[in-house]
Amino acid sequence: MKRLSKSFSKANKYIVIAKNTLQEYFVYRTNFFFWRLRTFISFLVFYFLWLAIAHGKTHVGSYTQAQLYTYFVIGYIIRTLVFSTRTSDLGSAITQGSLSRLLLKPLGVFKFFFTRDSVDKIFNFFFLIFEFSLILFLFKPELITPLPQNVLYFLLSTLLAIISFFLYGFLIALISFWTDTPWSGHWLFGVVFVNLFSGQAIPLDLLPQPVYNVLINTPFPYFYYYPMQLFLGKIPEAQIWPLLAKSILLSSLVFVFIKSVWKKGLIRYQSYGN
Amino acid sequence: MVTKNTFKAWLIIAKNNFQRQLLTRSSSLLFIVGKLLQFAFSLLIIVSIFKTTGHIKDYTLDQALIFIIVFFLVESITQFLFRSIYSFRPVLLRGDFDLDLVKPLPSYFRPLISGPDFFDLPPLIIHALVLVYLLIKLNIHLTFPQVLLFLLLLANGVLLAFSVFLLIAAFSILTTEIDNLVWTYRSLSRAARLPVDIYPNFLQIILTGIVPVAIIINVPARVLLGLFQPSTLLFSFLITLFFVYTSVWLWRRSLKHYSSASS
Amino acid sequence: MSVAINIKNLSRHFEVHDKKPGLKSSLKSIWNRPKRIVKAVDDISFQIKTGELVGFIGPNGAGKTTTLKCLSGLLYPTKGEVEVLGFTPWHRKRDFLKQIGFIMGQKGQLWWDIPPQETFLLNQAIYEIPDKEYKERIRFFRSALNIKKEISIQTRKLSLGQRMKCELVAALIHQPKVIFLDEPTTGLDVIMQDKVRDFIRDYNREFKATIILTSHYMKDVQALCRRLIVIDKGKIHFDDLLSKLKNGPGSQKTLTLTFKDEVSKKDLKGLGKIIKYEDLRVTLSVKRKNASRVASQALEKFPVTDLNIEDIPIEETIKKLFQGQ
Repeated sequence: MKRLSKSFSKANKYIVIAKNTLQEYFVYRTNFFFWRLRTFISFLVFYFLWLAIAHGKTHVGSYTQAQLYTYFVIGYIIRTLVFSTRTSDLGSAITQGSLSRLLLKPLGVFKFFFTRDSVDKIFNFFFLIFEFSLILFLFKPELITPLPQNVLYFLLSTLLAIISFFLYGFLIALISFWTDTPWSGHWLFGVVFVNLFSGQAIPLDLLPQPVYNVLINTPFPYFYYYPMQLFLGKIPEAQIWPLLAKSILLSSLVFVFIKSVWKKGLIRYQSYGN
Repeated sequence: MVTKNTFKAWLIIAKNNFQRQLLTRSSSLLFIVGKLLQFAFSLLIIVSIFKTTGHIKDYTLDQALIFIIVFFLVESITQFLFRSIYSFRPVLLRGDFDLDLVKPLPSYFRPLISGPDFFDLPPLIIHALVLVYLLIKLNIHLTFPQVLLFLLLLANGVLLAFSVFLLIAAFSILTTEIDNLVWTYRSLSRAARLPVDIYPNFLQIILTGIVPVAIIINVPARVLLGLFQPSTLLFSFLITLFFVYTSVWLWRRSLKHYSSASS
Repeated sequence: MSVAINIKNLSRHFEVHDKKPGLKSSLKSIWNRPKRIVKAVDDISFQIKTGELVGFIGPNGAGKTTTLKCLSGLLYPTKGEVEVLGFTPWHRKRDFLKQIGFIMGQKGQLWWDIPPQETFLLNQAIYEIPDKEYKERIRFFRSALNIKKEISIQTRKLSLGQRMKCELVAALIHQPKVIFLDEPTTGLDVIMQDKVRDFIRDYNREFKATIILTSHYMKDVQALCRRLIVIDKGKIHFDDLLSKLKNGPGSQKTLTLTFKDEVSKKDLKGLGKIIKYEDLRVTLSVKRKNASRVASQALEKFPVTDLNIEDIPIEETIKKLFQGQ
């Protein structure tokens, strides 16, 4: 009984963090609204670009028109759920020294940010439902009907993508331990690389073969390209589970790496006395 | 009105920024690498698309390349000039805008032109060089008046971008909560990588009349390619006039409403 | 003497949104946010002559900073008229802005990553100060503030006191005729506070600048100002010479006596008003002019082992003023 209440109070503080995080969104609701608008607009820009590209053609590369539209429309789910993250706050907490406030409390910093990210995703999810319906209603995009197992693979890989993107973001934020101007690292590795290499802008297999070969050996396709390939059923059955396993392995490696980097960073942080 | 002291102050800030960036060389290097990567990858994407499709609507690869390079050129110019808009919100929230308003500088100095960034220059120069290279490579011969016209519309676009940013700064003052507005503009401006008439009508109207990136970015490229009517040019100037007028009016109003972070 | 600042019936109101804690009220706040009008400055009037150094004090949120912001053109007033050096501040005329300086204790204008002198040079350009004058002024500031090499060290590496000195230079390099000093000594250590005070006094004398000073530290006001304006809840409660403050530091003194043996309250009554009475120690409030007579009386009549005469701290007086006494 005692143990139960103890573990409850342990969980309780993260519930409070979650609640406070949620409240922040209401305070900065205009900001949030514009964040959603931006996500929506970047989607529209890509969607209409590819609409124009596919105009009057049956195929673009190996994609039918419907497959191409699906790649971007269903991809909106990934844009919202995978790429919404608050890990960059950790970066500013480190450089501005407000991390100290977190360290003084009996909190796990990792758990703290994971809680915030989870709230972020849940909150974004509600808006996703609304916006996604809006997209379907307004543009009536021509989409493919996926096989049920492909939907399942898609969901699974998206979940993995959420976790690995959180870890990736966390890792990037840790750069702040070593530099006063972490924004450029965050921008290059967290924004530019992700935007260009994850497949948000173009299905990666439409790129020249050598470029494609390099990219699929990076973590980025796991954030967007592979989940969409799974949805479209473009991955042969035999390669699906190895792919998912690779994604898990990748996350685990990043996790282990984070742990050791965090330790080193903290020593540096403490010895500099921010 | 830009006066001598404003220009001098601008030069000193530019110098100070440069000094500051030399302290963070690695950071600046990452920035330039990122910029060039975006540029190169975007060209790669366009080439890849045209390799599989041959054309987009009526546009050829050559034309698309000119459009996209002009897009990057205009972006880097406006970024270089008006970078401080991105850091205006924290300045506003901290109440530091006060410190600038009590100085004999134009009120738009802090939000718009107080952050010229020399590390925007290498990408800018590269974009310009690639543009010249491509014009030569594609055998696009420009007469002197054409070059002048291009520069004129480029200037027109920069002035229009200035007005758009001034509108954004005014909105920031009126609501104080807005951070993403300038990013919204940026996201939308990406649509102008290619000529906006490949998009559905409603989007064309938005990109021409409401967030006029078609005029800021597309029109100068059209001049290079000879894809314009005299009416296009007239229309561009009129839109700019309208935006300049509206933005100055709203900016004045917002200043009137300006109340500092603490009372 | 001419009038530098003239305020007539100035009011400045703010709309504020109330937000109660809790998720529920956050949800509620999406639909409506209750508004409230706060009268930060409520119908105040006063004049300040050229070259005067006036203390402007009041508790937090009294309306001090709002008034200064109206005077410097940062805020449009809700009502009323303001004239500073013959200008209406919020028209923000260049010639007006070139003649004023605003120092906000907690806000710096120095660039964080580069040495202070770069900011000075920037201000030289902004205020169009000729090179010769600029150099002269820098020389003046260096000796007046005892600034040595900190001028060429990265701002972030300076101590708070050093930084404050440089902030003063940056804000005064254009030799403003009217200066608004908003809590210039906040956060500084005692020695540094003294230095800043001395500097302000010297500057005021040297350049005949009109200065309004707000402060949390009554010592600032006491040390620098002849005239005091007290504001609370947007209204002016006192505006006169510091010495005229009722029961102020000029008129009253405290007398603290320590005795060898106990002395009853009754016996002490004739000496003055008892403020504090402990076993062997008593604190009395007496009129200034009577202080020495009362002291010698006490020494004669009672077994005094220690005696102390002090001015009443101005804080006490102000506190009473706010309590409506």
